Amino acid sequence: MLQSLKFDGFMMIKNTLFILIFVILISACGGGSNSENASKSSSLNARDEIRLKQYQVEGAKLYTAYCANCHQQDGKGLASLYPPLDGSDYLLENLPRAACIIKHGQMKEIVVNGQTYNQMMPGNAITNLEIAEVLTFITNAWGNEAGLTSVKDVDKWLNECEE
Amino acid sequence: MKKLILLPLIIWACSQTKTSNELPIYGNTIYEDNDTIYHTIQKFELMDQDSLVITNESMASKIYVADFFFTSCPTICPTMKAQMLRVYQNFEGNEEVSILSHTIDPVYDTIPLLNDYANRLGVNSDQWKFLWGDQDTIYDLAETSYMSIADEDSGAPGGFVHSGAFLLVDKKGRIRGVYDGTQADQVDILMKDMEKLLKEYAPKS
Repeated sequence: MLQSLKFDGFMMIKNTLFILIFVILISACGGGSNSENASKSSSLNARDEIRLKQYQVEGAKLYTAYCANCHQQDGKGLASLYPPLDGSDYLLENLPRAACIIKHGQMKEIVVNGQTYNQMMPGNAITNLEIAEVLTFITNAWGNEAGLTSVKDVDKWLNECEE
Repeated sequence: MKKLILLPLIIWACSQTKTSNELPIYGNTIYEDNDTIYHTIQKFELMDQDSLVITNESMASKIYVADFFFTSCPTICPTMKAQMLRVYQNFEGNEEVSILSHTIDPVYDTIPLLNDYANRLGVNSDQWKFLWGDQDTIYDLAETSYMSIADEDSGAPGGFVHSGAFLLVDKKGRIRGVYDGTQADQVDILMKDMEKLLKEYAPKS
């Protein structure tokens, strides 16, 4: 009786050990395959993230040179004269339109976050890459988080500008 | 112990000499017999955004800040207006203080357009006047009255009329300060100088 109890106890420990090892093995394998996936996608993300950062840095310089006089350094615009870019529905709801306005300027009255603005915006003699950079900057600065705008996007959008 | 007492005294003395310093009077000064004639703003007659005629007499009981701009200017003007807005907000309601912004593009900047511009900037009192006159009048006023003193140090595109300068004028039409209206720290100094200038007119107690 005592012996069989001992035996059972031994078996139980043995079983538990087996299960433990089994679980560790599975989780190790699972973990291994997971981290492999993660490193693959993170290398893609990392490349995009570096490009996003580069565009933002270059875009910030362009913003100061071409845009900040009117839209102000903080992207909040100036009273009801110049519209904000920070949190601007007009900007964020239509990036292709924004690219066209940066390139060609705008004469008509627009509504931004419920407020009308009628000051003329001049066009800018800058390259498509520069437009991608400045657009990436303004759509990811302050409270905006629209991600990267690539040169390819800008190339395509500028071919489809409204008059 | 003696040193400890001296230190606040020295600080007090320094601050006293600083505040008692009056602002300089700019421009050519002519000494005639026993008279000292200072450079003053010439006679002018312009219209503001409400079609009111504004002359030197309208400004006789005010100190004011003058600048030159045009509404369609995408370069330094918006920055100047953002800075002037700070001045306006800081002295809003003070009847001794006025702002005169002269348009140098009277063809595009009509009076109704200036009115709309002022409203959009959030200016709803007559303290900040957007002045309209024909181009020759404005340029002559700018060059002979306001900017003659800033003649030398202007390499700005568009000439010194478009230099971004803010000019502080006292109640006698004399220029008491020149500031870069595109630089926030310069405008901070302007606002301090305005307080100083107002003190010249405060009743002595």
